[in-house]
Amino acid sequence: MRWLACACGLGLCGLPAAVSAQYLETRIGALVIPTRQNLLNAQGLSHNSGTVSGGEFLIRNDAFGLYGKYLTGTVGTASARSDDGRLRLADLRAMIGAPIFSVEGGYGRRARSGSISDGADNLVRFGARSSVDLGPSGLSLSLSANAVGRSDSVPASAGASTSKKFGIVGWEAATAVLYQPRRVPVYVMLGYRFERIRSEKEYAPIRREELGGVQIGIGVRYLRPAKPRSKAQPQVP
Amino acid sequence: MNNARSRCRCALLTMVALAGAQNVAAQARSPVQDLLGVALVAFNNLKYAEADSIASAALTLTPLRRAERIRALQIRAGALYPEEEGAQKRPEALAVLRELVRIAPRAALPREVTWPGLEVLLLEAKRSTFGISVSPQGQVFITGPDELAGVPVQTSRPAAIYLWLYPPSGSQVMLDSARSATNSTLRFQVLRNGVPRYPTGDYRLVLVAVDESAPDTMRIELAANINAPPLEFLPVPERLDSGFIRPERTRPKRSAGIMGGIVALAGTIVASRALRDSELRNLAGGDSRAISVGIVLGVGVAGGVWALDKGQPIPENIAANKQTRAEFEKSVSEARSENARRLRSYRAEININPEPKP
Repeated sequence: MRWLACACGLGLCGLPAAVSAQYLETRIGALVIPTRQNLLNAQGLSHNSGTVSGGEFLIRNDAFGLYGKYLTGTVGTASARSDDGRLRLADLRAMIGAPIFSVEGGYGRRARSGSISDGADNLVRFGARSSVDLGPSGLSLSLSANAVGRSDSVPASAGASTSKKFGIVGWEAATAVLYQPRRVPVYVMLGYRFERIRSEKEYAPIRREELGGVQIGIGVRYLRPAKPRSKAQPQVP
Repeated sequence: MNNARSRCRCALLTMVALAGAQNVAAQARSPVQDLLGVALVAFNNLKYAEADSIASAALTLTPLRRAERIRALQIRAGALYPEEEGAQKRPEALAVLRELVRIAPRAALPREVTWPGLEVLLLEAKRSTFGISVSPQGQVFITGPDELAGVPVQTSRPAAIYLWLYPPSGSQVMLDSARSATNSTLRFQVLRNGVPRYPTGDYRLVLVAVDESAPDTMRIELAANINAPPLEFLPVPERLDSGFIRPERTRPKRSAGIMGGIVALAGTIVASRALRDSELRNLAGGDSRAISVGIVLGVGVAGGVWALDKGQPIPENIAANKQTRAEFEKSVSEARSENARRLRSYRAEININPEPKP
């Protein structure tokens, strides 16, 4: 929760600057991600597929930003090795830096139904994001990569109590191309998202998971691009 | 009766002659005029042979003005065909009258010499003789682009008339023509498309009249001087120099689109491959869709930017260009107005010597 508070704080600090800044982007939209999964657990390797969907929002200026996402869906079925495949993801991230390159950090929860892992993981993520507005074409390109960390229980040694230890348990990377026609506050998005995460019990991996999905999104968006700078021209006589 | 009339006329003419003599000091009379005065006195004194002889002598003098030639021929005609039947020489008088009609088809006989019989003879001469006369204004001012200079021409019979201009050097130019005309004015312009057609200088105006009823052609040549100063116009640019126009749109970011496409393609493939778990990588292949999606994203970004990016409007430059164009239009309008004013107020002078060249 502390991470979530920090992320919200960073985002809120950025809001006043966003209002007065030259560059401003706000968007909120729906996401559908047809997903394929490689799952390795005690029962062995399985390949599953499914669709997760949800929504996302972004508000950012040329210095700060706030991004949030919620996804839910089913990847695989109950027959897939004691895992019914229901998945819920939610995270909130704050960004610092120019859109072309910013660092981001956030907090999220990842819940996966099943009997062999915890009901929900509290995850901390940090990484980098780059968004490039490709001019009057209406196209934008966005890349992000994050490391995902979590505090796991460490088995108690003799005479000591159980403790927690923070470690990197996964990675996430995504590419996205947005297209917004001129004077229309609607965008469509196509991209790819890859996530890899490791589940542990007693600080030992019990499940490895890869999720790769094609991101398809649509939503409303307001973009105030940076003003173009004209080159020096000859003086008018 | 006739003698009485002749005596009265003689007395009157003597008085006129005396009055004229008093003005000799004031007016420089030419020898031809003096001779013609003497001839007229002889005519009034009924000395027809003497009057004819003196007038004939006057016709041989040079320079002989057209009016003097006409006057001499009129006196000769009267002297050759007087009222006295015994002194009448009809064929000679008719020949003289034909000579008169040849250079002055509309000329009448003066009261001093005419009588009904001579008038009948003049009519006969006019019927049988082709003649032409030109009566240009000595000095003509042409103002503006449309005003025309005119050369009035009379012929005794319908004729085709051509007006030619002979420059000091170079080939002649036909200025105007008229068909089946007996009384017309041939006209010509000094300006053509705002440029003087004929530079300042001395010219010859040549009138050629072709009798339409008989094979006869007459040619009259007049000296002319045209004073047509060059007309200087302000330059009017046809279009605004593109160097003064600022770009109204930013340059399309096509290279950025290509780079973005490459990054989208590579980023998608790298994201799906490089971050894979090492253990899973050995057990299972990666998501094959990543490559397809990467290609779609890469081509889509590059092609989309190429096709859709027309540049971004630059309001400052658009406003500056609007002002530049407005100033250009204003300057063009002012230049055109000034040029039109110069054209309207253009003034050329044409001097035509009414005395035909021999």
